[in-house]
This record gives sequence, structure tokens and C-alpha cells, in this order.
Amino acid sequence: MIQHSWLIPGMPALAYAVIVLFTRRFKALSAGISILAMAACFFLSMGVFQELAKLDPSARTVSFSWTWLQIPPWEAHVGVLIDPLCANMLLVVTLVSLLVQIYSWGYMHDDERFSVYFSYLSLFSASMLLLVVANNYLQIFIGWELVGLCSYLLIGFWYFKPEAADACKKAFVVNRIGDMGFLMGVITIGMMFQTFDFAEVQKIVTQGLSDHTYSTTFIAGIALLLFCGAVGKSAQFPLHVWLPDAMEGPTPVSALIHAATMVAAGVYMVARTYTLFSADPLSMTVVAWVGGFTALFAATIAVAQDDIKRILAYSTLSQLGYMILSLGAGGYTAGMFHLTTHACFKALLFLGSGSVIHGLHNQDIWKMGGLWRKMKVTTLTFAVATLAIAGIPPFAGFFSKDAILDSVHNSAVPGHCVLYYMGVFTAFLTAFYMFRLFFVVFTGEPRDHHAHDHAHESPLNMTGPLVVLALLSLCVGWLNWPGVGLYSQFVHYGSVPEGAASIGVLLGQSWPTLLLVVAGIALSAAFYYWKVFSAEKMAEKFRPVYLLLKNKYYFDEMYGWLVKKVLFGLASIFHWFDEKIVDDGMVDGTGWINQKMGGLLSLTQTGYIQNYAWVIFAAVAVIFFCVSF
Amino acid sequence: MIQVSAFLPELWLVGTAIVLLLVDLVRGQQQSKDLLYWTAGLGTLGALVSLGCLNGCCVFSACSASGPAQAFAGFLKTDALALFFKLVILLATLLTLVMTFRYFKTHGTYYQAEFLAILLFSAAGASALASAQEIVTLYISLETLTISSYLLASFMKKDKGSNEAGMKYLLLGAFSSALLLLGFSYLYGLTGTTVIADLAKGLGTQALSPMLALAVILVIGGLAFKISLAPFHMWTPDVYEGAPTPVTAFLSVASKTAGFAAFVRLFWVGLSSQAIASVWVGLFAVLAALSIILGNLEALAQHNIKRLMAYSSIAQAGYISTGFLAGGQLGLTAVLFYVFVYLFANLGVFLAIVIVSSKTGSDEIADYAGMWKRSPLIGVVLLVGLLSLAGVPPFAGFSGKWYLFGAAVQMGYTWLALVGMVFSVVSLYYYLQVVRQALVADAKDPSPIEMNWLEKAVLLVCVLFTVTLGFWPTPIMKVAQAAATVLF
Repeated sequence: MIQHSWLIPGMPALAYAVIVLFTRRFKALSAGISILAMAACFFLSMGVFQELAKLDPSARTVSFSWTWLQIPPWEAHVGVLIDPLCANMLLVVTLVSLLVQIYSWGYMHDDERFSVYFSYLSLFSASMLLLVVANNYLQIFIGWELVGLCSYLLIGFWYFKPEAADACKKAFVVNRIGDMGFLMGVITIGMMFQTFDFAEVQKIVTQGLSDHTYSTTFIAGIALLLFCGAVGKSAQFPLHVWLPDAMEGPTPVSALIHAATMVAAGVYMVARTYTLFSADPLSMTVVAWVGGFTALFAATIAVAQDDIKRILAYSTLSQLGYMILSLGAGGYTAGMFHLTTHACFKALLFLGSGSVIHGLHNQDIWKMGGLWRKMKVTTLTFAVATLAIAGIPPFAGFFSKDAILDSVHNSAVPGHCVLYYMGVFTAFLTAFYMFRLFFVVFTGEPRDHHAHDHAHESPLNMTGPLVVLALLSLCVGWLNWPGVGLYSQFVHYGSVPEGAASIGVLLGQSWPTLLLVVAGIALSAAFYYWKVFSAEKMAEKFRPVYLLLKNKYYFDEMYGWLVKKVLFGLASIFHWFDEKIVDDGMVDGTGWINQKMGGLLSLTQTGYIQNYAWVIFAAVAVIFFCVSF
Repeated sequence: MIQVSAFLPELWLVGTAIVLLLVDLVRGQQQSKDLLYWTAGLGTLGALVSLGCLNGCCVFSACSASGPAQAFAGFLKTDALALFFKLVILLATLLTLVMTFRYFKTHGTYYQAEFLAILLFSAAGASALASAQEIVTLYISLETLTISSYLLASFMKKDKGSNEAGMKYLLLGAFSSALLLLGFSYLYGLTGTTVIADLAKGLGTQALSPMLALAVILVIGGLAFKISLAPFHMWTPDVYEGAPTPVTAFLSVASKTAGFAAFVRLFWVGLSSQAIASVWVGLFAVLAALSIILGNLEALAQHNIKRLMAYSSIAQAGYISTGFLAGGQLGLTAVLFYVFVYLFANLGVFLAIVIVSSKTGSDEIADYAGMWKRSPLIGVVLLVGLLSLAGVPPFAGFSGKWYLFGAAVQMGYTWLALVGMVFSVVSLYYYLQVVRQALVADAKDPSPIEMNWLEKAVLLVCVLFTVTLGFWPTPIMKVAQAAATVLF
């Protein structure tokens, strides 16, 4: 299986080509090809995983590559690197992709560009899997840019909506800022180490650090350049602004790309290049603080949002912050574990919200309410996901979130105590805003009766994936059951697995968090279910705070001001220079001179052979004269 | 000992040509011409297959098991380098045959069998040139190629342009051959040998005497004419414009490749001593720069696409010379790779030109307006082929130029690489003029352009190679590297 793993990105790429070239006119056939390719990928990934698990723990890294370009003195390769980290990610990506594609068949069935949609999904899967199996920095960068492109195409899928068109541009531009840093990091690696290969770079860095060829600060510098890419793609503060807007895309796309897989690529990349990050406390500290801050910051915004998908988008930001925090604090396994569990329950939340939107044609939670009567499956699965994200045992989120908080608690990062309490408080906020969403949307009385009357449960090809994901959201956490820790035996950095605490220790540590989470749920129920307090009155009382949160700390306005006033101001100066000096003077001038010269030189072409022969003779004579004397 | 395998491809070509003439004689003129084309095509394919079997994947017992096949006291030696050049020449011949079929459908002539036979003779000369190890053999092969080309260029007897082209080519070609022969005779006089490898021994490490300098310059002048390197390029636009288009295509790729094969053998084997090389390498750098500059600038003023392609081919010769003069494993690999890439890009465009002009009867760039709508495939071929010639990524011409200029930079000719890059930008202007007409402008006559399946397939293959080799040059690079190790 493992030697065929290049097929995993290969098959969706083929599906893309087939759909674009041949089957675009046939909707069902296109979707079928895309889904079939994805299913094959999933089973292949299962096979790869199984084969890898059978190997001895020390031999669980299989890599092979082909020469792609030879540019002496170095060569660029494309290759496959299969190790537990990669196998884990492969399973997550292929499974979520498969479910989302099946779901999309129901969700998008009325869309005119149905086939195009599926071709984009296939292209996305191919790029994402190319990134996941990459064995070198160049390839991961190529996959990185390709998923960025797919994200752009899919956010702007309904390009005729001005919001969607704006959002896809915003996502692209904001990502470019991060990617610039990433590219610089990759180029630095290529220049300094003469190779892009992960394993070789790791060897050179380890060697160089031990004999002091490279200072740890230098390696930290490279790591931070790479981290810029992660900040952009995983939407960490301060480049978080694109992700909430990305919700303009079709909801299944939000589930797949902007919640479960692509945005996790930043986390995956940090884990993949962990040698560079862990070389110096500086890079680890930056990573941990960026993650921790984003987790809290996004959670506070989510409390005051009204759009169902935006609430989920901010919760994604917050959860990604957790993962980054965990990696920065040294909790490699915990971070990746949270990525895995989060993929399940966040995909479920988005697909559930998609089911609601599909039934109501509306995204404002204040126009919903009492939906549980109409949409039983959606409600039930959504409840499971909400419990999972809030971190109630035995749902998946509890185990992974607790592992993160535990690793932060034991971390050596400066200020880890503060980070720990930030994490705990974020858990409280998460429980609060997620249950706020749940209570408002699914319980109580319908607020918009007209919409409510038309609401209906979604078809089987949409609820099916919901049920599968709900089961996963319940069970995936058990992989790292306290005291057993199958997952931490499998995915770990270095040769020694991070131990899994026993159940007693676990509960002993996590009871304060759990208590706060329950308090969050209770508070949320008090506001929105029992309505003992009035949310409106609270908002009125703390109006400045409420407005600040509702307007997302005015970051969009601030960036807007920076771009409009500062950047465009600078740009207009350059524009003048470009227009007047470069364009009119240099470019047109060069063109004019070249045209004229070409015209003049053509005159030498007289058409008379005696002239031509004369030139040949003269050339020989002149050259001889020059060489000899 | 004579190993027949050393000249197996030539044998195929010449044999097929004779068969063609006989078949034509027996069948008379009343029947369809398809049979002739199939015969010629199969003969060329046979020659291509024989290359494969020379390269080691042995099917026939005639193949040599150990080392490259040689014949006539080693005057012909078919090593990996020769095989690569032959591959390009034979592929070019095959593509030219496809063009010829189309061309004669509209410009019907009585003597198609003769045309095909002469084309194959010409290809045989070019192919033999690639394995020539001795200057008389080299000269005879070269003349087989060029004398046949004179005939081909002037083949349309009733067309004034073709007559003019043939006459000019003949007179100037004869003049340049005289220079070349004079140079060869001096070389023989100085060293007492005609074997290229022994030239180097005979010359030893002696410094450049005026006599030797004259010999080298005469040889350069004579051969530079064949690859249309400035200032020996002036025949090119007139001949390319007037000659039947398939002949123009053949000259621009097969003849040019053969010329480079001769250059590589003669200069990097026979005249490669430090003292001599330092002079001709510098001289070549000047000629290459001159070609790049003149070719690209004069192309700007053209409105006839064949003339434009003529100037473009002058510039291309300059680019290829950049890698040639850099030499070494790197430079020669770059030359071989680029020639291969140039083959598909250039002949794809020429096939498009033949197809278009057979419908519109015009070679004016203005008549390419809206070509995209009349035939999407031709639009794609023009876009991909011309952008590849300009060296725009991701097409193969980009990676090709990258290697060429990279080799030049490594050998210290950064200025030449810069000239090449700057004038590649200039070239973009005239290549894009054609693309702009084809893709953006509105068609005056929107009637679609029909093609047969073979033409479609060939165009697709050209596009496929030009795109794929841009993304993934490694397979051909490996073959080119293996060929380059013969000399370096």
C-alpha cells in the first residue's frame, strides 16, 4: 500500500482533469467521479495507515521521491513521506473530504455549476493531499499555494454575489502576506542547506546545532518565517480577518476547507517542521503566544455574533489557536490530536448549519428557533458536536482539549501560567457561545413563522454524513483513552511518546476546567433557554463592550483604514512615478527605439545576393583582422 | 570492419527514397498520392526505430553489443551524442512530411514523389552529419543536406518566390561552402589529417598562428551560414519566406540541428585545445549576441509570419550558441535539451502556419485574426508554441533557456546571458503580436478550419511536449546528459 501512496493525491487530480476535460456537461457523472476518486483515496489511506501501524515504531517513516527538476548544483524532487503524522492527516483529510462531497451532492443539487463545483473540490483534495504527503519544503509550498487557489475559487464560487467576490479576494490577499514569509523561509532553507528535503534538513540542523555551525536564533528566524505562512493559512491573529468572510462560500466548502482541513494545514506544517521550531525557545514562545491569544480573542468575538456560520468561523479561529498554542507549548501530540477531533466535530457543526440553512434559506440565528421539532437528525447531531466542542466527557473534544491544557500547564514557555488560564477561560467562553447558538437555533419557539413552516429535514445524502460525523465526534477522543493512549503511542515527536495520564490524574487535573465549562453551559441556558436573564439588557448595560465584540474589535475597519489611507497613499505616489517616468518615458521609449531600430535594420535586408555575399566576405575579413592583430 | 548499424538510419532513409521513386515510376501519376506519403512516413519511422535499437534496446542482430557502432575506418561513429541529434532530425523530418501532405493538397504539384525523395535524401545527409568523425565525411554529408535543400527550396517551379529563394540559397550556399572548404584545406595543411580527433593531436597546445586563425574563422563562417548565425544570416529571411513552407520548417529545425552537430564535433573535439578555444569561444559569444540582437530587433518590423519565423530562428540560433560556447557537460546538455524543445515548439507553429495558409492562402499576420474561433487547437498551438519560443514559463522554452543561460553564466559569460534575457523580452512583443491576432482580434472570415486526424494528433503532441517538458524536463534532460557525456 505504502508504495502506492502517490496515488492518494494522484486520483483526485485525475478526477479533476476528467471532469474539466470531458464530463462537465453531465452533472451526476462528474459528482460520481469525484466521489469515487475520494472514496478510493480514503480506502488507500486506510491501507497506508494499517500498513504503517504494523511496522515497528522506530521504522514508521517511509519516504521515496522522484527527480522533478535538475538545476545544477541542486535538484528539486517530488516525493512522498509517510509517517504517523502524515497517515493521521491523510485519514482526516480523505474522510472529511469524502463525507463533504457526499453531502454536497444534496446541498448543491440545484446549482447550475454543479460539475464545476465538484471539479474544484477534487482539485482541492489533490492539492491538500499533495501538501500532506510532501517530503520536502518545495512540494509543501506548491501544495500550499494550490490549496490557497482552490480556497479562492470556492469562496468566490457564487461570484455574482458581491460579498463572495470581495471575500475571495480578501482571503487571497491576506494569505499572500503570510505566504510571502513562508516563501522566504523556504528559499532561505534552500540557500543555506542546499536541499529542500525534510529529513536532510532535519539532519543538517541537528548536526549544525550540536557543533554550533548554526546558532539557535538563526534557526528560530527560519522557523518564524515559516510560521508566517501558518499564521496566514490557519488564520491566526493578526491575519485572522479573512476566515470569517470566507463563509460566503457554499457551506460544505466552509466545512471542508475553512474548518476541517485546509486551515489546519498551518498546524500540520508547524508539526511537520517541528525540528526548526523546537530548536530555540524564542520561536516556541512566539508560536504559543500567538496561538493562545488567538484562541481567547476569537472566542470573545464569537459571543456577540448573529450569523450562524460566523459564530462557527470564530470558533474555528479559537480552536486553531488552541492547536497552535499546544504546538508552541511543546504539546506536539496534543495539538495534532485536537486537529483530528476538531476536524470531526467542526465539520459536523458546519454541515449541520448547512442543513439548517438548506431548510430555512437564512443564516441569522435570530430568525431561527425551535428547529428541533422539524429537524430531528440535524438537531441531535448538532447537539453531539456542541457537546464535543465544549469539552464534555466522553465526547472527543474533552480529551484533546484537556491534553492541550495539560501540556500548556507543564510547558517551559515563558508565561505558561497565563497561557494556561487563558486556555481555561477560552474553554468557558466556548461552552457559552456554542450553547447560545444551540439554544437559540434549535430550542424555544420559532421566531420567523413563515420560514419555520417551510423548514424541512434534509435528504439522506446530507443527514448520512452528519450521523457518521456525530459518531466520530463521540468516539474519536477514546483513541487517547486515559492510561492507554493509543494515539499518543502512534503520533509523537522524537522517539519517546508523550505518556497518557491515567483516568484519576486526568480528572484530578481537569475538574476546574470542567466545572467552568458546565458553568458556561448553565449561564448560556440561563440567558437563552430559561431566559432568567435578558441578553438584550446585558448588551444594553455593557454597550461599549458589546459593540466592540460585535464589530470584531474593529479590525476590519483598522485594516481598511491602513490600506485605504496609508497603502493607497503610498501607491498613488508610485503610480505617478510609474505612469509618467516608467511608462511614458522608459517603457514607451524603449519600445519606440526598438521598433525604429528594427525598421532600420530591416533595410539592410536588400534582397540582393551580391550585398549578402559581400557581408559574409567582409565579416570573415574583419574577424580575421581583429583576431590576428 | 564495417558495421552496417552505424549508418542504419541513413540506409533506411535512402532506401525509402529510392523505393518512392520506383513506386512513382511504376504507378504513374493517375493514382492518389497517399501511398507515397505512407511509404515516406514508414521509412522515416523505420529510421527512428533503428535509432532505438542502436541505443541498446536491441531487436535486430545487426546491433552492436559493445560500444557505439562505427564504419569506414571509424569515419562514421554513431555514439549517444550522434543518436540524440539524429532523433531530433528524424522527428523533424516526420513532422515535415505531415506538413508536406497538407501543403501539396492546395499547392498541387506533379512531382510529389520527387519532393519526398529529395526530402529524405536531405534528412539522410543531416543524419549522417551527426555521426561524422572526419572532415571530408562531414563535408559530404553537409552537402547532401544542403544541395537537396536548394532543390527543395526552389521546388515550386511556377512560383516566383520559390525560384528566387532557391536561387539565392544556392548562390550564397555555394559561396559559404567555398569558405568552409578553404578552411578545411588549411586545417588539413596544418595538421596533415582529416580525422577530427587527430586534428586536436596535430594542433597540440600550439598558440594560434594567423594561418590557423584564418582556417578557424573560415570554418566558422562556412558553418555559421547553415545555422544562420549573424552576420552570416542574411539569406535566411528571403529563403524562408520564398521557399515552400514545409521546407522552411525543415530548414529551421533539421538543417539547423545538423549544423550544430557539426559545430559540436568539430570545435569541442578537433579545436578544443585551450589556446584555440579561448579565441573561438570569445568570437562565438560576439556572434551569438549579434544574432540575438539582430534577429529579435528585425523581427519587430515583420508582418509576414514566415519572415517573422525566419528572424525568430536567427535569434534562436543565438540562444543555442550561448549554450554551445559555454561547453562542458552543462552547456552541451543545455544545447541538446533546447534543440529538442525547439523542435516541438517551432514545428508545431509551422504546421499551424501550413494549415492556416492552405485555407486562407495567406501568410500575413493580419490574416490570423480570430484564428482561435476558427480552430481552437490552432489557437492553442500558436499560444503555447510561440510563448515557449519566447521562453515564458511554464512552457518548455523557459526551462530550456534557463539551462542555456545558466551554463553561460557558469562559464563567465554573464553579459551574454543578460543580452539573451533582455532580448527575450523584446521577442515577446512580436510573438505576442501573432498570439494577440489569433486570440483577441475578431475574425474577418469566421469559417472553421478543418484538419485530418493526423494533423490534430501531431499538433496535440507538440503542445503536450511543450507543456510537459516545461513542468517536468527531467526525462529528456537525463537522455541529453547521457549524450553530453560522450564529449565531456
